[in-house]
Amino acid sequence: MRGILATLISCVFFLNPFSWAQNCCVPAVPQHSVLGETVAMPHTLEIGLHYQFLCSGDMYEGSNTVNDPENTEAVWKRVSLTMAYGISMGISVSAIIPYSWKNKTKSIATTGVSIENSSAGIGDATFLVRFSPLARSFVKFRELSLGLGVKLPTGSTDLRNFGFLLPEELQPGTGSWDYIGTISYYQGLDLMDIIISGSYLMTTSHDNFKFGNQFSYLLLSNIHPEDIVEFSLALSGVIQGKDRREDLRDDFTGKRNIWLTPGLTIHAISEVLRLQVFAGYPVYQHFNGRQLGSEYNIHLTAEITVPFKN
Amino acid sequence: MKNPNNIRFIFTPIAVILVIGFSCGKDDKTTDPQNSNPVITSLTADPDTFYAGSSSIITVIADDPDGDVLSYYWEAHGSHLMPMPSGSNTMELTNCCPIAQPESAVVLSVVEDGRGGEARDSIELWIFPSGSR
Repeated sequence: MRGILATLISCVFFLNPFSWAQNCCVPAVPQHSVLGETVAMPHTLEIGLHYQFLCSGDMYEGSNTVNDPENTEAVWKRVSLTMAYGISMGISVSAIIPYSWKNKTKSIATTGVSIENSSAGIGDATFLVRFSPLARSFVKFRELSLGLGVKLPTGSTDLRNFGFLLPEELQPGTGSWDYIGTISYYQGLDLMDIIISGSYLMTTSHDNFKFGNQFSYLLLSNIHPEDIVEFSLALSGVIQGKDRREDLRDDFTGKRNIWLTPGLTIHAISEVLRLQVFAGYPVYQHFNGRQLGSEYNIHLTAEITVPFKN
Repeated sequence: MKNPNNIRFIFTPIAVILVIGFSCGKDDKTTDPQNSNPVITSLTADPDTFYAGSSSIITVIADDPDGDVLSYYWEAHGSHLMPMPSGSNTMELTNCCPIAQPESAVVLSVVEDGRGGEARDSIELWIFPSGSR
């Protein structure tokens, strides 16, 4: 057990980020299975390591793809360390500490010269308290939970490429204090579980720039024909408002999207270690004006559970 | 409690890492009272108007009365721009994102001498949608 813990912690903080597999995500990607949808079991610590990879390459105008002579592409990768601890039955606290790599390429249409800009760094950490007025038990496999959280401006907002201050979308952090409210309902059945949840992210300004507020929702079903293996299917979506910047005139931001995400969970060590893989595909994307749309999202997770009381 | 050492084992490295990872402090910039600020003698854009999908090269010429080695930093305000590899005192910029109507961007050039002295100047660029060509 100690070996597993030490390896996970070392992976996040001490390995060269470019020497091993990477992952990522943008703010608009649904955060299910990172934020967690249920209250952690009492006196139990859950530690997760998440790897997310988001590939974006099609230019959209409204809901339609359009020709992009500049061949714009973006790859967002992110590793997140998550920790959740159940303080008592129905109350838990959790934290998310992300490290992201962002890379955006485009070409000069007139010359074909390719341009690449990238950044890497610790992102904004999120802390969340989750409370369940309708807690799970060994006889009632259902839970209603409410969560309140804050996203701290721990990520850098002043990274430069070639001496030039990168735009907000490429910075690892937002610089703002943002607030999160979430509500989730879990229902366990014989062969499957169902989770319905919604989250609202209320952003604030930093340096005259404010990312749009964001509402995300999730409908997730886990089917567990065996103790070791689970199959899941999630329908999730994001509605993101327009960014605001005082000195910016015509900013194409704000979007709506719906993702279909099949997944596989393996309980490698029963009640101790679970491994998950999700592959998300956007089934609907609508943008305000012309924006870069997403192609797919990969999410790998290793999560261990450490009980502190019998 | 199963084993109190478990808690210590898990939280100690995490706490140390968080403290190291999130520690912050003031910049170590010091100003030398004998130092003179650099002087920007010209700041030009070629061209100063470009279509989305092409680029503009900004050049700053600066001198330092003390002969210090100068460093050049850049920012854009008013429109998102994307930098390209450039020379030390030049910056080639293109539009970051699609635009719907003509936009202007103010490019700020900051020249530092490494001893606390700096000079700033800005220039305005215009970007037109590629379809308006």
